[in-house]
Amino acid sequence: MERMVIVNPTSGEVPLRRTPRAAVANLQGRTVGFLSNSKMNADKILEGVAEGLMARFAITPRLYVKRVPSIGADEAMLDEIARDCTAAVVAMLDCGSCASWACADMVELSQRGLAVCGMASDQFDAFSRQVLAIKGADDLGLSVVEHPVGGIPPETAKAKVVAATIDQVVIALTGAPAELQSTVAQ
Amino acid sequence: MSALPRPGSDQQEIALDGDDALVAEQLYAWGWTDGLPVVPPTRERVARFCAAALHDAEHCLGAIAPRGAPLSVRQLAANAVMAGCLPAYMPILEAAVTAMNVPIFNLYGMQMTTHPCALMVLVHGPAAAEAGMNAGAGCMGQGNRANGTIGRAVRLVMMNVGGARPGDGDSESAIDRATQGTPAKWTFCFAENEARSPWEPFRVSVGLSPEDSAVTVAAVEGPHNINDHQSDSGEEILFTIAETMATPGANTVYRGGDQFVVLGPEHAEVIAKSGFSRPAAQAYLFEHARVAVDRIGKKKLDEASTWGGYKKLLDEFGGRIPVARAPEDIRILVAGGAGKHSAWLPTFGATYSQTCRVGREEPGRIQIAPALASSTWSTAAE
Repeated sequence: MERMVIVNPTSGEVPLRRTPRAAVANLQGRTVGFLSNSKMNADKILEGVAEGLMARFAITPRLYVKRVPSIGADEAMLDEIARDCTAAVVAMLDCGSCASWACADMVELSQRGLAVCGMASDQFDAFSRQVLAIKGADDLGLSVVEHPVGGIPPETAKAKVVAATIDQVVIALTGAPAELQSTVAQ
Repeated sequence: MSALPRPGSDQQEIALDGDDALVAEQLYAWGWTDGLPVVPPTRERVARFCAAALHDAEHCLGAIAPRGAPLSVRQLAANAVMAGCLPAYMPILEAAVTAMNVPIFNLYGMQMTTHPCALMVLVHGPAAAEAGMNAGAGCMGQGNRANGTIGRAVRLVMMNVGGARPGDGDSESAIDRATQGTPAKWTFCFAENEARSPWEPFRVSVGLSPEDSAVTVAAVEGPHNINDHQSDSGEEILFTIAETMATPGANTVYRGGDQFVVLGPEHAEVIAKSGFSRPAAQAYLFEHARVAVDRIGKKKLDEASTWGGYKKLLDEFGGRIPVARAPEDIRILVAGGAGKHSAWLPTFGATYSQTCRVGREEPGRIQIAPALASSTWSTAAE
């Protein structure tokens, strides 16, 4: 059979990238960073998560804010979070460029040794996982809330953070559902 | 149809079964096209394109975000063949992909944003004429092979090498998350009409030499028309343009970045004859293209002023927000033919356009125009 040989226009091999997942054995009494990308109600989602973690583990929360969602956080801010915190929660992954750069921030924090969780809306959950996969960071965890998070009253956004949301954050940061269950039971 | 080849396979055989058209169908089935039929990138065709390039076939032109795969001249050539380019366009394409890889252009964010930004390829200087590009009537539209296929080739590189195809996450590579996209994402390329420009060529205004050809890339919306058939002074025309730019929905109002005003030659002539230099016209637009805060909803203003870094400056602005952070961020040039129309092209905002010299005389030399003094980001909160 006659055949045509073509040059593969996609053939560039992507260098193997691997971002190891860091986890904390227990969140009890830890200092946790909360990195907002200034998307509407990102602070409310983080507030809800912080309150949940404070109630369960008596964590000390620290809030960090990057002003522009569609670029990466400053190195200095990432270094400060790494210096002061054991774990970090990043929000909000609820659009294309903001989620992709939030994923990049998660990778940067993970590479600095922090346990990391991203807060994604359900419309950008799969997308965020794709972006993390591209970065070799498939193991990093997300906690998912119902879309949308922006364009709604702050209290409505905060109410989207429920016990299961906190559970997902804890799993992402500790990597151990069993430990989560025992901790919750305490 | 054959199974999808693994990305690392350099060549692929496709059974013709007596029908050449099956090749284009197969390429579409593999997700390697923009949806329109393509020219099969045979080894012979790709070799001809590589021979016309400034760099060797295996030279790496950079890693294309977000996938991060290295782009060789050979892969650029394969995508250029598919787009319907001629080999002579290769130097322009090499400059375009180099420019879009400058970090502050933010290709990574642009490829995945929900914003409908296209990648505008703007060609300046002798290279445009040598490629037969259209800088005159209808230059942003259909009908010219170089205009149509150069922009398409860059888009194919962004999809095939960068890995960003549109979708809702329904497949592994559906990570171009544009909410609606824009027709300009198929292709968007034109040439500057330097012959009708009353000011120095754009490439010279950004720091390249008059002898250089250059390519500018920008992450812009599709062009927004500005009609003014009546005004007979530069100030009146600029006023119309400024009022058109003063719209609360554009990303640039709240994120900064640069933006383009592409003047039709007739508008440009009137503006220049009224005494406006290019910097003076930029200054006028910066001063007058402002959005009154009462045209922006409170919640949007709260977030927008945070992103834009001017939350504490609203009083200083007198309640009127400039659509750019600095006059030079409003890029002005001339393109098009007869008629009283110009175009405004706001960008994605979290981006600065880049201009790259086409290194014909010194193969292998790539020179990016100096960055604007305002081209800096700070993500620190106020």
